[in-house]
Amino acid sequence: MTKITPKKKPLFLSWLQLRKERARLIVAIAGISFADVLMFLQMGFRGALFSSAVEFHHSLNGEIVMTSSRSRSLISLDRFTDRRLYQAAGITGVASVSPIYLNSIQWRNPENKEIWDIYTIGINPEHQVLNIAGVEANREKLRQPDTVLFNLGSRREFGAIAERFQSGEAITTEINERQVQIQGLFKLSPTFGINAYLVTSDVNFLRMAPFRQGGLVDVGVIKLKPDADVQVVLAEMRSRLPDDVKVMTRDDYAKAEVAFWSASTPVGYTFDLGVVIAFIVGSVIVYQILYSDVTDHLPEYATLKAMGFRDRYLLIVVFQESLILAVLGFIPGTAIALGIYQITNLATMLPMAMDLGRIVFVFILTAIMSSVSAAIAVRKLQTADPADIF
Amino acid sequence: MVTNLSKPAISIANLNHYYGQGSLKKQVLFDINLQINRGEIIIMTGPSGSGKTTLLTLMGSLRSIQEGNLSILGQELLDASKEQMTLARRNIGYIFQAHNLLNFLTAYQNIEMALEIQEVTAAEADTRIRNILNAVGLEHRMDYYPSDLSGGRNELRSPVPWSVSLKLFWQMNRLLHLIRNRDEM
Repeated sequence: MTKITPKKKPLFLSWLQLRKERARLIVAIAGISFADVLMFLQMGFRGALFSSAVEFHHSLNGEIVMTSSRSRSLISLDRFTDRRLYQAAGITGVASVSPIYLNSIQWRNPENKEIWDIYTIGINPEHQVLNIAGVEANREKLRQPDTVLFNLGSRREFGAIAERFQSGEAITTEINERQVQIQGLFKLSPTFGINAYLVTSDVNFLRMAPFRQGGLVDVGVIKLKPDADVQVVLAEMRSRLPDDVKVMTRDDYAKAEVAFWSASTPVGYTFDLGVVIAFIVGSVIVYQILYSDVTDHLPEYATLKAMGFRDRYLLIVVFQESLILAVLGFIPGTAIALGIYQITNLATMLPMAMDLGRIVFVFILTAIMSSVSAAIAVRKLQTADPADIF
Repeated sequence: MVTNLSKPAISIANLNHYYGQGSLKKQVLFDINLQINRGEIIIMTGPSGSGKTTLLTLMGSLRSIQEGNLSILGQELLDASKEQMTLARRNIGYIFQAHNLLNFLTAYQNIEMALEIQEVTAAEADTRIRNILNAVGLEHRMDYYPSDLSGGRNELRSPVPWSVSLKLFWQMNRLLHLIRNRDEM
């Protein structure tokens, strides 16, 4: 067997073949772009869901979070007595504790008087409980009775509050038959379960939600002294506190929220399935294109075989075609997905964000999709007996 | 090219060939014995269905040998592997009935294809490609695709590797044409 090392620059057969049929090339690129856009969207929605769901959690100003042992998520809460928090305050290493009240409260859209539930967060205005710039800047205004901070990222259903407030208008509306005044804006993205947020003081919260009892809180934020060890304090709390509450690090609190959405709601499964479907649709498109391409060129490939080209040469040609298609389809697919992310962001306020990991992952999926299709399509090629073409 | 000069170009002994399987199995070649020496031009004739093409494809290493012996340029093809058959084909030029040009390559690139499996330098390849194009009168159409070629297209039917040791023709007039242009080829 002689080793073939052509000094001549080899012909780029795969590209020449793809380029010759412009219409087919465009259809193939469009098909792969479409599959990529579908995958990006499913992943984008999933990512937006999870990152928006834990924005509140990450904003808590404390290393340890306490909830009722029956709380599962911001949309599946149970209350606990704030005495547990004060018990925790007595443990070595704890610097301060802050209770948070959470409840959906009926908000009247000041423009059309429609009633919408708004997710209201009640905090002690004397403590920095939430690391959210807008809340920190206006926290002390919440000492006044019937004052609230409104959410910049909230949906249109609540009225164009942010725009009007920013233009200097004084906005009052009605919550549970009390006139409340907007004192500032803060940024917290809506989630799949929460449309908009309101921040107010604990005192105001109980006024607006008379059905809630003071002293029964939803979340406790525990801030530690700088030299305290989180795990040691946590272990101490777990041994000292009754089991009607649970304590965890802030990160674990966020992880539990994500786990709730991904495992205990249809959402995680839905989007994962969406990615799989998009992958299959894309594979079918690429396969169809490559298969008809191989079939159409079968006599030509058989001629090449007769001339002494190995099967491997032809397999490489088809695999190259599939990878060229993958790259050419991926570029517009990514661009379109970025555009749709922007549009979705504006339309829904969901934090749709592209990250490099996802781009790499979708590209790998595209390459796999194309290679698998190519592998199935070339089975036809390997059966092409040069003797059968004459 | 690895060829054995002392052996005949093609040597066939007790060759049988069948198509179909089981009860549909039909013998098309019966005990063929044949020897073709180097430099010979052999013309094979016979009625339709007599097995000319079958024999030609067997001699061209395009089809596996079932029974009997067949060697091309000293290489036995009975029980030859796929790779051995592929390498044997590199010593053979085929001139088919239908044109088998690659439609997505220009006239120039079609000839260039034949050089893909040979060790040549870029300059050498270019000279050889241009010589062939001149010989078939396509030097001004080298960048045309097969679908845009009319007259010269017949002369360029399939990319024939040069310096092959064996040429197999599927049609007489193609052979006659090549003999006329022998000096150029």
